Amino acid sequence: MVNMIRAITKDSSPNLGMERKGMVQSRSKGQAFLIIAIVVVLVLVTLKTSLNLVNIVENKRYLEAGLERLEFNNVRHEILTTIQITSVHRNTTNSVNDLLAFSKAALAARSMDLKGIFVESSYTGLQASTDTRINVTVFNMLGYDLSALNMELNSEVWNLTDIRHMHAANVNFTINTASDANYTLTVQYTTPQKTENETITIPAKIGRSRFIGFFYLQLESDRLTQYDKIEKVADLV
Amino acid sequence: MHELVKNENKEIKMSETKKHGMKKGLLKSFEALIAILMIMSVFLMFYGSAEEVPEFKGINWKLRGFAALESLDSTNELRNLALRNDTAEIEKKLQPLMPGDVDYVVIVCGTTCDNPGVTSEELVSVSYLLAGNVSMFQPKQVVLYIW
Repeated sequence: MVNMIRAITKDSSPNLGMERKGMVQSRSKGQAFLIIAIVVVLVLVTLKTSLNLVNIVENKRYLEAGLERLEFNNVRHEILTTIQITSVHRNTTNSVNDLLAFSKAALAARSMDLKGIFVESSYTGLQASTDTRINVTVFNMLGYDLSALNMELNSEVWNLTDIRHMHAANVNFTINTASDANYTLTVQYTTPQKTENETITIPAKIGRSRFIGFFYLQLESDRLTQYDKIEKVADLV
Repeated sequence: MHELVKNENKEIKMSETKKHGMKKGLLKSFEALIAILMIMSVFLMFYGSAEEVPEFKGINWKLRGFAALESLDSTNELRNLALRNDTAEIEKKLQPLMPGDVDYVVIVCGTTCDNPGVTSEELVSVSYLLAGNVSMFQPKQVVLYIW
């Protein structure tokens, strides 16, 4: 009897209907937590993917490398300036070598290593059909000693050994020309790793004094290694 | 009879409400717990490892500083002032070329330079090499400290 009454009243009671409605509402409220959580998760993931840390780090490295390129250009520019400002009554070869040694020390303080090999040739008052001395200096700043240094100009050969790091080797060649001519100086040097050859053109101009510089420059840092070869001919006064 | 049904209704209603109330509470708590766990695990997964976002202020100051020195050198002013060791004049000339929100000091030196005596965590420096000028070959470096 009681069960029958229960069965009847379950469906007929308006209060119980409202109760079920409330249950549905509270269930929806519970699911709202999950929906909010999903939205928050999506926001977190979107934020993380939009913040591409690898790209940001790469951009910073690029900017830092850009500054190092400017510093390398600064050294290049000052080498050329030195040739220009010392071409009047000064020893250009010694001045350029002093500048290179100075630059190496200054850049070392900023964790950069300036390296290179520099071949500086000069002649004074070239006269037609007269023996003229060409002075050639090779400054080794490669970071290691040169076991052999061979030079050839106008069939004249010099073979040197053991040129230490931060030291210069000096030799003289003789040329004799009736008119303006281009001579070829070949320089071969051997490092612990390899043997390298450089060919430098020496323009001989009658009645002139000249400085002919060849610079192989290298600037190393944690981020970047830059190389350059510069050739510069300047009239000496 | 009617009274009996009424009482019985009340009884059923009360016991069902209690039961549903408990169930409802448990379910809500469980769902909230899942939601918290979801957010926490995603947060820890993506943001757990302390990856430091690099700052660009320092490198931007350096680039601006170097460009300012280069610009001053293009007119030969820097070269001449550096040879005279006139840092005050270099600083004055740099003023329109530097960002307004930074402090800076210039030191002219050889291979070893003095400490500027600035205590700032944001201190950066950039150096510019100079060979000298037509009247004097004397390599120097102009160091610009920015903070």
